[in-house]
Amino acid sequence: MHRLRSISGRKAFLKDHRFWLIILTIGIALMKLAIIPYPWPELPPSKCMESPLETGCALIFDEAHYIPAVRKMLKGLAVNNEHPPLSKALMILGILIFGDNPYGWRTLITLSGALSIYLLGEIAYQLTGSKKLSLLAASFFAFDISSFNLSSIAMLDAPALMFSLLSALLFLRRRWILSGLVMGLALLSKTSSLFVLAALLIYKLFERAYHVDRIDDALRKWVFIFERVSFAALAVMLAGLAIYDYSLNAYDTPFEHLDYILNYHSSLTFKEGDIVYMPLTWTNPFDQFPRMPYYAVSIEVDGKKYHTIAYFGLQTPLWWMTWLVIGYQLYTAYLDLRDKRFPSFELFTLTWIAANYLIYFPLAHIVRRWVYPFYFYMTVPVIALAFPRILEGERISELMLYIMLGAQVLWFIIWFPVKPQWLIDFLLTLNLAI
Amino acid sequence: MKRELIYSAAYPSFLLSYLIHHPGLRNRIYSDIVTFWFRPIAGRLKLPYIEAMFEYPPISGFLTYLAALIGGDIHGFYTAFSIIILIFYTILIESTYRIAAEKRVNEFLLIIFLALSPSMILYSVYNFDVIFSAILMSSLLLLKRRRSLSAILFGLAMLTKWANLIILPVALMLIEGWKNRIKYSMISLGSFISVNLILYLINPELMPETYLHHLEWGLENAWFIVFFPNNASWDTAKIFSFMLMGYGLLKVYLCKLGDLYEKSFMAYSVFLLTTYKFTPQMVVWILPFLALMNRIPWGYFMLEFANAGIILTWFDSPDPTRLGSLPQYLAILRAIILFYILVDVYLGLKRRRAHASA
Repeated sequence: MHRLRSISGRKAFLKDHRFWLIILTIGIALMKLAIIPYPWPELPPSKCMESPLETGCALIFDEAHYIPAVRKMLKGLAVNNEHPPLSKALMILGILIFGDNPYGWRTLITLSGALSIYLLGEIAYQLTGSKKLSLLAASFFAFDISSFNLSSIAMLDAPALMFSLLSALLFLRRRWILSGLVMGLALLSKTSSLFVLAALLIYKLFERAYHVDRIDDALRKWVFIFERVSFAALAVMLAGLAIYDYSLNAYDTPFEHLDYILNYHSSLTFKEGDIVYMPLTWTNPFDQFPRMPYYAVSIEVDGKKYHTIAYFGLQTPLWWMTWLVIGYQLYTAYLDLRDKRFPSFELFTLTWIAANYLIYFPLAHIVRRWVYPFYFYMTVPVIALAFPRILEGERISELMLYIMLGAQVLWFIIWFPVKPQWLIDFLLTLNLAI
Repeated sequence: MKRELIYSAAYPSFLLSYLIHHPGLRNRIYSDIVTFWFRPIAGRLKLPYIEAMFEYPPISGFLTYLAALIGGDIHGFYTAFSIIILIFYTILIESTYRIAAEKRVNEFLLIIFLALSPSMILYSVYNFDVIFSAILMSSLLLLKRRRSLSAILFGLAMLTKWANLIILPVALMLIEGWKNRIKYSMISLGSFISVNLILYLINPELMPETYLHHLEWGLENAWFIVFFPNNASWDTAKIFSFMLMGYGLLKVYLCKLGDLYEKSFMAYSVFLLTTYKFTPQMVVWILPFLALMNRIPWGYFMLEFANAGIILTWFDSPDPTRLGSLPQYLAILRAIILFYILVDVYLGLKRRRAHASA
């Protein structure tokens, strides 16, 4: 009897979506950890402090900004003040634990990137109650190669997204203050997390307005949530900035620091003749921004040239689905509203996409603010969440969904930044090696 | 109490205000009115908004022009301006008295708040605030009885200092029916917009010089200068100010407590506590509402001390807008006390509702 119960307990465990989410998260985390030492620096840290930095520093993409900044912060200097300090503090912690090397710079960032996969799965489950959709959303995101690359290097984005997703999950679970506190950590990691906060609050405003008859009652209930989430977030952000500012003697008050951040980011405008990859090129498969080598080492063997290390920023099959997702969500939202149902899922995803992707259209085209394709990283989880919903349900469409997932995984394998030799050889035989 | 007693206190108070700012005095206390004389619309009798710009809305400009036309020289201008203010001061007291009689408010409080307040003495013959308050209070007095006239007066108040725009949602909430609310909004906002539109068509410089001009000013007596001590960061301080104001006003509009006057007081207090430019004469706006709340808040005397102190120490401070100067310390003290009074009024209203439901 005891044995039977134990077997059924084991089976139940396997049916739990969280188990598979954890497996997926651990799997991706292990892949990320495995490639951390590539590239490994040939130059000592002291020679990798000031621009121009040599290839021997082994810094990938914007690590060239953050790692020298982190090293100076370790010496008590206040630098790179245009960005809040938490992501850099995580890099410092990593360096203190693992030393000033790629493990030190990237380990904690990498883990936060992997954790986002689990959190996205939980958000999907929270919104839909579907275990299948939870796993599909997490898988699409886990095998998004650009997101994988960006969250495997020492940049600000992975912790910002991880805290944003955790905050969103707590928000959906109505843990307002806790959600706000975690959002404060996201803001302390990267200020653009503010767009996520805006998306959550706008989503909730629509929800209140739909469910409550009188507009003033709806607003009153919304303000109750707004206060708890926003004030908690603001308190954490200001406290974090204050600690940084007072300990490194950077600014008189955290508000003055915020002023600098705001002014700096407002001043990043482009002029005629500058090459800017506008937001449509991030998602349009027919007019893509060029694939960007963040860090690439190529060799030639037997007349065949290939990359041994290839961190690229590029569109993925999932990114191509963005406009389909937007159109479909708008349509199903309309159907729900027509049938007197509140389109909760659609509104959540649409407000997120609007606040984290569509916002860059006016910013780039009207304000002429510099925009970069890697900004799309904050939107990818929601595309991964909404896309499976389109095809889920019917056999044929689900088959297409799995084919799409297969394409996403294939893309992931082809563009994986540090491939083992056997995989390179295999891809070379198929003429797929990059 | 007979209204004669209120006037017998108010007029000497006004006379004192007239005297202390008089341009004939060597050690006079500063008044904006005297400086208006040196502006083209007064000193050179240029038509306001058409021939010369003025940073206050149309009624303020035309009254200044009228005072200059009557006055002839600086002393005459000052006296004519003071007489105009006196007329409106009388309207202010009369309107507040009538509202107080309806609300069964102790009229003695009108003497304290509208006649003996240091702010009233220092800042009545000073700027357009008494004129503005008088038109607004008469508008609120007529809100229930003669709604159309009230709406016109509301629009005229906006044409004097426009800050009563923040009271509009409070007033609208007390009007029954959407049709009536829309009509009230159309009349009040329409009168404000139509006058400005005519002037704008005559001279397109009106908008930047009259309204947008204030956006270029830095922080003045705002408590959050403690967060933004460096004036290079004041543009961000203004964004902070607008966000805080939006939130605070939304809270007041959504608050179910209080009547028209209590909610108006709360809206004005929020505005004054969150605006980046809280000049001391703006305290005149809240005095009638304080009187109508039928009690003297504990912090009132301290508020008056701080508010009067700002102008009395302003010109003896080398850099009065800088954090660390005496006027700014007084401004911070004033903000703390006003915030205390605001919270006290809110909690008082909550207690009153609890009593009523018990």
